[in-house]
Amino acid sequence: MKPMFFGDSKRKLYGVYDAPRGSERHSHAVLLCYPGIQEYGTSVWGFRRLSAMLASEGHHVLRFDYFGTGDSAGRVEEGSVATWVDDIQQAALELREISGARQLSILGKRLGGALAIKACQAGLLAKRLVLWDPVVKGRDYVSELEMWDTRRNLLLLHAERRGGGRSELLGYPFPWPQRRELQELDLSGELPGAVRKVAIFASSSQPALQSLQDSYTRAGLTSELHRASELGESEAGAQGRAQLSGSILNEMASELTEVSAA
Amino acid sequence: MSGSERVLAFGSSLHGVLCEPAPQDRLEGVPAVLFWNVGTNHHVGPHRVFVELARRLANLGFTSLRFDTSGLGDSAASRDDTRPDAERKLSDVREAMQTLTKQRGFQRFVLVGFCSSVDAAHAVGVQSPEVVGIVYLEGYQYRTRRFYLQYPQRLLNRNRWERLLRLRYPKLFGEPESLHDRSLDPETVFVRDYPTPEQLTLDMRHLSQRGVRMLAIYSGGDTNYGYEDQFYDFVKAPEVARSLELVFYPSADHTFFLVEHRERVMDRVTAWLLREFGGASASPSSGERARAAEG
Repeated sequence: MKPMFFGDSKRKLYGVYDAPRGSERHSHAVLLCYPGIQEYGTSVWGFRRLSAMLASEGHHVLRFDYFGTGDSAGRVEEGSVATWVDDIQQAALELREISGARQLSILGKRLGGALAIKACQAGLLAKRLVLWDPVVKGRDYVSELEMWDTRRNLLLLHAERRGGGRSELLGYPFPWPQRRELQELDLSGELPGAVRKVAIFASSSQPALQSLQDSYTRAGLTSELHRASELGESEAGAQGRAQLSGSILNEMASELTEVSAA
Repeated sequence: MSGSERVLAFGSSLHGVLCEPAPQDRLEGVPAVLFWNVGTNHHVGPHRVFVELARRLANLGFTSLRFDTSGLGDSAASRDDTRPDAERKLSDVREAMQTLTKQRGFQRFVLVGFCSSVDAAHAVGVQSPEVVGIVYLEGYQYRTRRFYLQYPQRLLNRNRWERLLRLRYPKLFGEPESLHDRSLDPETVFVRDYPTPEQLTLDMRHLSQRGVRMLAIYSGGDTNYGYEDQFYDFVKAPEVARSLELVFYPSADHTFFLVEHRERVMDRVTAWLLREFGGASASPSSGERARAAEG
């Protein structure tokens, strides 16, 4: 585990690189893209585990914080879809440089999945794209986070703050331009550039993900939709349970390990 | 931020981010400030509060280190270390202080504890003479007689009734039952060893006599803290008030979830640090310093 800062000195990004371990070492690197900041705190542990799993399978792995999140430079409210997509490209470049790996795959969770698709559309070359509960329609995503925000505010006795349209969300500033931009995100039917294969992992039953996979299939892109084995539990909270149980992490690690074996 | 940040690797497997002021902003002789994990959270702190606080402090001339203790965040666990978590955490905090002494020459430290990380801040502070300041964010709290006497006042809080009704009868409010699934509520994942109020009183006397400056910030909400001076009803040592600044935000919650509450906490911490350790020579040179002093 090697934490580091990289990128432009005025907007430095923080990342943690895991070098390959064990006897098998591949020339394959995996870039892990966090979800948006509202879901960052609950994802760090799962990403650390996933990174360790992949490194022990012989892959180079980098997980990093977008501008304005985690330890990276900037403030939450300064981020935008365009800057986060740039960050993914910057991180991919860094990962290629430090690893020397010839092949790169990307895994993005939730908003990170949507941003990874955008980064590939913008020219980032990835052998495999793994999307973990990706955001497909920004409007639904913002509504869902607002629902959780309502619940948190109710539980924390800030009932007067509940309801959408506020300039903060789940404990973080959420300025109007950011809200508008996220609500306008729509990845349905959009192809992720020159990716060879897309694997979608769903922690719960989400019709939008089936539609996304169908659209990839119609366009002739090799894709798979995996439903996590935790299915059957209530939908709410399925994501959290999925990453804690580890089975979805194992399945994703296997998917990415296939790349280097192929 | 006008300063700089870099990764600091120390001990056998620890990592953190060292946040330093720009050379022209540096305050000479001030202590270094340390933050580490709250519970099992990453070192950035709840809602990134430690990152924001560290950068504000750098603008004011203070150096800080926010780091992950063994096995958490970006620090690996040592396979050979079989000590209990609480004991290892104290050793990690001491290791961080020793590293800053060796690498940056710091001889004095301020420890910032938040909720469960107060345990290590307090324990290391009591034992280590180089600790000259401790911040207790949502630190130790014990229910008192007056707390119980005031408890019925909670029935007058509209938000409590709204919470009760919405959680119990979500359909009446047109909300899905899954929204209020109680199994989603955070569960206790570890148990803390609280000092007894008597021990805490002794510790506070000791710290105060040693000249350690302290800031304790409490919130209302669902905590066990119900009124401003409750601290002195469980720490039976009024003389501690000479060393301790006590702040109570009744409308805030335990994690300072709302941005405005967090801002208030950060303003208070920075103003306190500047006042207690900034020194006469530490003349504020920027608007930020002036703002901090008002906090």
